[in-house]
Amino acid sequence: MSIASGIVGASPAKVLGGISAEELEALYRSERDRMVRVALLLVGSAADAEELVQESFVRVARARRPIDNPPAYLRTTVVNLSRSHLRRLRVQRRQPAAPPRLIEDPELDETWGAVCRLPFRQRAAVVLRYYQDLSEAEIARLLACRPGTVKSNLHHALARLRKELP
Amino acid sequence: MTNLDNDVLEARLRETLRFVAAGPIGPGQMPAVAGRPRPRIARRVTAVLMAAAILVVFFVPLPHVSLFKSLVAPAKVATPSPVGVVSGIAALSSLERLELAAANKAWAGVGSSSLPVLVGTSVQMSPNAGFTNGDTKLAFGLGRITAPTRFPSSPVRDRGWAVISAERALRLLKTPTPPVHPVYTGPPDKVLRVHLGTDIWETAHGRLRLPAWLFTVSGLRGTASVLALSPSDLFQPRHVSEPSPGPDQVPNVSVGSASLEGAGRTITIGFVGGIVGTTGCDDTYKARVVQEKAIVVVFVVETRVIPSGMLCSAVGYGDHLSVRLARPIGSRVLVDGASASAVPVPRSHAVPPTTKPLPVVDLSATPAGWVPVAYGDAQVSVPASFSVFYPGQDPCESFSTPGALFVAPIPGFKRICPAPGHPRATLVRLVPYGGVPQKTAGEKLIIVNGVPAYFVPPSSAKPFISYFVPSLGVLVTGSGPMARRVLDTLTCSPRAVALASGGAAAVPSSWRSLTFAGLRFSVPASWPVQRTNLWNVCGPVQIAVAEGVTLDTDQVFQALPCPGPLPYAVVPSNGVRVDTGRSHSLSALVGSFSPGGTCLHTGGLKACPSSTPHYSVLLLRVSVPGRAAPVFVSIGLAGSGMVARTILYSLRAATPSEARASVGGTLVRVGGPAPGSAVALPGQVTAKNSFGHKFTVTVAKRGQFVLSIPAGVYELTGRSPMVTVNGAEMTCAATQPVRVKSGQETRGVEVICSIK
Repeated sequence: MSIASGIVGASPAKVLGGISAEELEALYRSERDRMVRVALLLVGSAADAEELVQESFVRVARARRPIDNPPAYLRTTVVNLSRSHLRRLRVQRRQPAAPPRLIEDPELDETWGAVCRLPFRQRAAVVLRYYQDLSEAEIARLLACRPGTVKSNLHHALARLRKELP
Repeated sequence: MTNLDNDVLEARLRETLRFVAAGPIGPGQMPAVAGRPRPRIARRVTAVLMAAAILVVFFVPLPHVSLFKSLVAPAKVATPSPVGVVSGIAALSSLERLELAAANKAWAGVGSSSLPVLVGTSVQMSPNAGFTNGDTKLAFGLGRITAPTRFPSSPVRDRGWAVISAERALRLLKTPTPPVHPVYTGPPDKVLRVHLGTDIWETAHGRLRLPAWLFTVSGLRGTASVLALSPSDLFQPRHVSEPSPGPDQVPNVSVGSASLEGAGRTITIGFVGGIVGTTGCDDTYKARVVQEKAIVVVFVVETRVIPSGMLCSAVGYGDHLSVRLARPIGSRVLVDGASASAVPVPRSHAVPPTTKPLPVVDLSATPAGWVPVAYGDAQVSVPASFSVFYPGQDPCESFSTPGALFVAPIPGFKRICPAPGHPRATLVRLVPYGGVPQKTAGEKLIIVNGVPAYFVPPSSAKPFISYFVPSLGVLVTGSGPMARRVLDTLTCSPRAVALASGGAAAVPSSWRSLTFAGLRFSVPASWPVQRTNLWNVCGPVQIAVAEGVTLDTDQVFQALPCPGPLPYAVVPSNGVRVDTGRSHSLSALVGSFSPGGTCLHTGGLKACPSSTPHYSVLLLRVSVPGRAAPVFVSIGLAGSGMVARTILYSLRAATPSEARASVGGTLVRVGGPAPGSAVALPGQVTAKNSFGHKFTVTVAKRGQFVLSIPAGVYELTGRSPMVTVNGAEMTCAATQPVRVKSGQETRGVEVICSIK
């Protein structure tokens, strides 16, 4: 059974608004795990990351307008949903979410803790630059800002990390 | 203050992000969403189908209910094929997710550790054990056990394992077994005998035969065993608090046992649950499994159905579930999700050898451009630009390098030395330390390159980071910008590998064999061989700095000043130096040689390693049969230590033809009636060396003998049927010991039977 046949009311060839079921299936196969890992770096929780990526695929599937670049669309959705998720958490807890203790290497532990304390824009810029290896222009498109802003975010993020890390 | 340059920070960021992102994620499932609202007709069909399903569940006869259950309930042991649920994280409840996180935290590092994981207690009885009466049983359970008058001496190591003392084992044995009987006033049991042996223990990786203190106790038939392994040689999961279930959450059932089938892919887990399959009180159980890299976490989920107004029995029933894994469990630990504790899984390869696995030098721990520096069983690496101060060097010597490593410096040297010249120097100390830090120190157990260590963060009182490493017997502390990086290169040393217990390493066929000073040993065929006859008093400092073999007869004294240890790290190299020992006997740098149990007996030789644990050289004093003086063998300790280990275990006494010498003379009678001149006698002459080896030759009428024997110092004795005392042959002897040199003939020795 194809993955896409799980979509109610859609045969594999049927177009779901902005993307065909075949494209969605291919996108899911190629991008799902990668996006979960990006979201994990953005929100700090594997469980939340999986839910956010799931929701992102739902959004992709429900898009009404044709999607030119589904991976980029998906990535933007993941980043936006991650930001909303963190904002919601902050409102709920009135404090930033504590990073989970994922690592036992003290150096990595500290680095990860410091990354988790960055403001979302800086954290997203760091993750997209140093994990996804995206260029500043690509990050700018993704975050809907100017490349100069990305540069500035990266600069401030690194300065802050340098200050915090021994 | 900015400490990190951009390159370092970016590399660290990339590494951290990669590490975090590589964590486990669930398998995922394509979202079942519609592009648009479902058509009404579809919703109607769905409603009809759901109603039909409800009717089937509630109104079909009982046997059909059972059939329905068999599809949705867990597979029992009797079920032909296991259908246990293999799930990802996404399928877990919120409580199970917390429990999974706790299990991962508790078992962090187990994948990279080769230490055994004990399941259950460290005290057990022999299979035939039993108490003679109720009192002895009560006394034993309460720990009322009298110590023996004398404990046996306890080795530090047994079969390569660090072991606890017999006294400590008795304290463990005396720990009361709950429930404690409060009013026992009878006589205590008494330890009649205690000795170090082995016993079979349940571990997370199957049954292992490990060192144990075996106690024979009055009133107990059979023996009681206490695991003799030191805590430093056991992998101990971190203590984690079990997540508390919420008000609407049902805690999962604990897994009690497990067995393995289907080439390691099918696990049958045992647990105690409620009654299953009745019409009233009915519990159903389902297994969920999360497969991590080093652990497999299993949850047994209970669903309890109690109709209102019905009372249910609280009797527990043994039950089983089978789960099938995506890949064989292999060396992964099966962990009960409800308690985060290990579940023993009997493997087919029960009771493997008792010796500790050979330690491994993590070569990847040394970054390019860095130099490993060893001390005892431990090794850290430092940038080649660092200063390294070995024991005996003045630690107050100023340096302008970006950092310094002090190997076993004198205690408190930082207080007596002026501040280092470099304002932001990284200072690292590598010192011997046998203990585990106090619990109040705020330490946490971490695994550094497979080595368990207690990490103590800096504090205002102690502004440096510390790694306590009891398994390697060292404490490493560091301060400064690169301290953490240096400390994280910690691994075991090539010396630990070379001297570890275990089988002899096979000599590669490409190696060649060399013979010198009564020794034979193997080295890589490409190594150059250099011969020298010079000696001085510099000891091992100059040893093995170049790859190759040096054979030294130590005949000519070289009146040169000894080079001091260099104040920087010297790259260790492989090599061998064999000399006849004059320099070492005069050198104060070699330390003492192990007099007792830590000497190796290999190839007919006794090789005692020097207690001097530095310089990346293994110095051995080797007693060679047939040689009066010991031979000193120095083996370079580089890389993984396996080259040194192979050379060490290739050492053996040279065969007689290679080191033979001869001694000759006459068996004579002197004294007696005048004139009392010497008279040649027939009989036997025996030469006995300092190792007790005897060589005997028959002597003909002319009294002359020649013995072909290994070089060494001998006492010669003889006897003749012509000379008797009270009917027995008299013992005759040479007047003094005879030194027989390799390849030389010693003649003119008289073995004298002196009569009045």
